[in-house]
Amino acid sequence: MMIETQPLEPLDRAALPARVAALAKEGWRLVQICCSCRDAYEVTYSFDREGRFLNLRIGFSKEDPALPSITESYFGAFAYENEMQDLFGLRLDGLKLNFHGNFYRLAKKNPFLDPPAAGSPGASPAASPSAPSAEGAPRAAPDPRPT
Amino acid sequence: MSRRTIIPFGPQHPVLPEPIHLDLVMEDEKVVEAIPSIGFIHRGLEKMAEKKDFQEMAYIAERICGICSFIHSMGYCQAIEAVLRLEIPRRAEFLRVIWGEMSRIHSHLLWLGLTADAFGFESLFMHTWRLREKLLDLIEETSGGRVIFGVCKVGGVRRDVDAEALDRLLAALADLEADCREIAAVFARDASVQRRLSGIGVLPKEEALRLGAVGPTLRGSGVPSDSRRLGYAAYDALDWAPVTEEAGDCRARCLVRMREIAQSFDLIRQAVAKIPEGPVSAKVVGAPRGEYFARLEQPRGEVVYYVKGNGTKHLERFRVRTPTFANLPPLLKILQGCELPDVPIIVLTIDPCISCAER
Amino acid sequence: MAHLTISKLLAKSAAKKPATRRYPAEKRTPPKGARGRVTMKQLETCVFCGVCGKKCPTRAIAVKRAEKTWEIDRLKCILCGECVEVCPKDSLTMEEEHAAAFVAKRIESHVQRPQPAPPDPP
Repeated sequence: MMIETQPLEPLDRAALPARVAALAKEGWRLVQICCSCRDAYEVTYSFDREGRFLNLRIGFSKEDPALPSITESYFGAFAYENEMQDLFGLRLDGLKLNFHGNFYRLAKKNPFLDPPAAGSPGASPAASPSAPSAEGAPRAAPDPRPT
Repeated sequence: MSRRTIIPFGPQHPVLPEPIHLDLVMEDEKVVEAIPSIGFIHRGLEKMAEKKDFQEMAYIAERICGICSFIHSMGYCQAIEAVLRLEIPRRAEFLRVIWGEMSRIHSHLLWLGLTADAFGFESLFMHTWRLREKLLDLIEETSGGRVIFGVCKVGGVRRDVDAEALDRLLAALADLEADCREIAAVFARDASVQRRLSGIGVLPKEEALRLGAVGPTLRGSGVPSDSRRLGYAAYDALDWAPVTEEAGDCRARCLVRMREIAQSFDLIRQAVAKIPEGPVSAKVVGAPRGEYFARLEQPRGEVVYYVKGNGTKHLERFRVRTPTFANLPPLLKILQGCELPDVPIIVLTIDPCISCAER
Repeated sequence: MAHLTISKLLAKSAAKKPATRRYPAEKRTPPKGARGRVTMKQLETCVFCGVCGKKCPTRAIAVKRAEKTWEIDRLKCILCGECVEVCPKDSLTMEEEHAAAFVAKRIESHVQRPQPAPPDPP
């Protein structure tokens, strides 16, 4: 089995643009930007150079959902940044191609921000109740069927 | 300066099987700028991982895309296996390579057909898809499904293919390969095809790298980048090198895909020759705790699977970066300065898979 | 640059019989091992344990132990075959032939009839 070494570099929000600009100069390719949010935001920037993989990670609290844009160095980042803006409600400062929350057509604002409540429109009927069930616990009763 | 007009392109357009909208800012017949608009079919599959058992998610991952289905489930399973530190049997890894390459051939044949259709070469389109149909039959024989293979699971694969079936597969693929060569000759040499593809939509090497292009779009610009070189599954045991073309135009991207079809036939042959005996799945114990980025090469380019588990059956975060998503910025760049009639063919040459991109 | 490179291919295929089938008259036989539809083949052996329903990723199968019914919603079924694999009594089978199309949503239901009482254990 192949497990890649994936170095993770914690980084301060303010230091991001400079670090990314340096990586861009060294010829790294932007692989992806991944945002996740449970108790706090965690944004991971992945880069690749000739098969080498590098992650930068920024963590910040939910009270201050803002992030500097890296579209100055990598224009292609606009897609990821607009995605984060739409799904997680982040504010991207200096975003070059900003869709202002209209990149995805969503039924609900920032749907990825909170864990969906049981029975919410986004929740899948099959998996409710939403609370992670304990190991081996019986599944939810068969859901209501159309008659 | 002449007057600027904006022409809406899509979301419903004859060349687009899936909805993407582009606002084309035009000066006479020339595109000055293209502004994309996606999100018509965002399904929120990533969020679904928080409510589904991580083993059942393999089925959902496979359904992210209807074309490169197998490699999606393979990517998801690899990410989970890496987090679990689960060693899967070698035979399963070889079977994954065989199915993965069959999926690549079928995807590329589909794309070649669509491209032929887009430039109005109907008979070529029909013949390409005739071959694809034969391949779908082979996929159904070995895996049980035609497009959704449904054979990949966390810990290995769900069914074995015996030696006799592998021999039958090789014989059938040999016939198919000869047929594919005939089609390839038309794409590579026919004057009308070249007139339509050569010199159109040029993406220089530096631009491709800077904008984050992946897959045949990047390799068509002369960058030998292919995630299979990381040596996941059984690719470390096979002898191959990434296919590249230097020109960076539509024809180069088309040739890359065509040569990759030939390469995939070769990889399947090698894998069948080297496949070891043994079990095809390992028992899954526990639940994932930790995180991992799995990178695989799909027909359309590099796909990144990120999983983060917290030790329960439900993942904390599941993210897929599909190749089309990464190829959108380069597409906008290529469209700048092209002629309006070339827009459909250029959009097609990145092999856009929008439902994949929006998940 | 060459012209009419496809003509050889076209001539060859014109001489052959069509690649397509004359469908309703000539039907395709699915290959062995294809996943066509899940059927309750041996209802009499089913013990209504409900494992198939629990393992089903889409919850297409509902098993009611009290009423001895086994139900499947074919529109929900994704033909993964998990239920067939886990069935302890091998009552379920994966058939190669696909289920026929239908025009209205319905649940396919199988009810086990009361069986003759087993002989009393000594």
